[in-house]
Amino acid sequence: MSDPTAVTTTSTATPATTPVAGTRPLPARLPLRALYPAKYRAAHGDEITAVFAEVVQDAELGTGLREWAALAAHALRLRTRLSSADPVGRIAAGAAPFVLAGGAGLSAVHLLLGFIHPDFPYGWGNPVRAAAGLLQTGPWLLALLCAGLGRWSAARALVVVGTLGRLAIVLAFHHVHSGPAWAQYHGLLGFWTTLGALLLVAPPDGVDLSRRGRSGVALAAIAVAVPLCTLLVLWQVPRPSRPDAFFDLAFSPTLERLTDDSSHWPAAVLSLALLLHLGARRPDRLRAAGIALAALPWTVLVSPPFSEQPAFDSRELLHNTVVVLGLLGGATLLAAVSRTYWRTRPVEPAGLV
Amino acid sequence: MLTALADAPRHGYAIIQEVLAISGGRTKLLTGTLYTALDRLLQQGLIRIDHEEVVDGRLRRSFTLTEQGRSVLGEETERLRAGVAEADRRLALGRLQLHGGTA
Repeated sequence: MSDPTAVTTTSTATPATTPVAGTRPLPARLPLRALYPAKYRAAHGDEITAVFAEVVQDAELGTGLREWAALAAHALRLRTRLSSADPVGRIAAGAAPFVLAGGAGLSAVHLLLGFIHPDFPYGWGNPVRAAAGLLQTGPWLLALLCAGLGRWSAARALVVVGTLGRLAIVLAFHHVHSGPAWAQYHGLLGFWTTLGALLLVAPPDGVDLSRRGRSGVALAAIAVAVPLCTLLVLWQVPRPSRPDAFFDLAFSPTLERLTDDSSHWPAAVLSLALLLHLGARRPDRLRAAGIALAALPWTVLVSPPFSEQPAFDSRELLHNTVVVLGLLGGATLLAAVSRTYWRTRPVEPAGLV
Repeated sequence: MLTALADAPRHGYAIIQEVLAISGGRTKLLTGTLYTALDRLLQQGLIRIDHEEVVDGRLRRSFTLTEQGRSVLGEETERLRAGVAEADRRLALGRLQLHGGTA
């Protein structure tokens, strides 16, 4: 913060009253000042502590704890340079909506997979599987809805539920049912945890929740989900002649190629979002970097049309990485060429037309 | 928050109270949210620290709008005013048509 421009005055001479620790509300007894970086604490620690003390003085316990949590988050953002005033924080804030769009889009695919294949990890074959499937997919879809309505805090809370739920399911299946089902749940845990972490570290006040921003997120999620869901249906719906045959049908090379390439579809959607952002009148480079960051986790995802397993080996991962970086690079290059073209294009004087 | 600082410099707790009053009780700023926003507005040059004082042994900094902050708030007010005027005009037009007018 900048230096004060006015005088420092000392008003009311009443000495500071320090209540006995036992009489202070619980939130006021939780550590707070120590959470802040030393420099910030020296400059603003007293003031923040004072305002916090006033706010929690007569507040209910829940309100006090929420106040403390918000300040603790503020302190941690300053410590990790992830506030909306820091470049890294602004990149994270640019990434978060598109991380959510991708996660919600894939959740829609997995939800559909559950309907089509009751015995799959997201399947509805029995109540346990149905609950496990819903716990993994539902929160992301609801989070998208909340973000669309401008309720970012609720969206973040739902993503926490979804991420922790997924972790709990993996642990539960590891102990109770450590067979193929566990392996299938476990497959994308790192991917989902990365998405959840990227979304949670983003400073909420830096996320674009304007009408345009919210529409962009919703459109990106739809653009990710609809083609992948269509492909899943095309691949999975049994043929009338062989209703039990899902896996051993011979598909045309075109459809197989399409299916293989569809693993890059989410990254292609995010690259398009990047292109549109960079093509805007005044693009924010840090936000653009955030959109590119949101595309990177998709390098691990393969095996469409189920989209539930990570890359099989390092060769496949390298291939995916090259494709995703190529898409992002292509979008950036296209935006730069377009910008140069419009800037250097001769404009006819209005009077001569 | 800019509106809360438009008429006079205010310290953190007073800003929370003022935002609550301006929003008719709908917006209750958390202290963490307040300081996150203050950090950003200071960095953007929309507000500055007006003065510091110690009250009951507690440090209070009061914030005020800068010229840039005043200008941004003015532009936003104009934008909202134009929106309200347009809404009024269309509502009046709608009422006219509803009562058999030929607008």
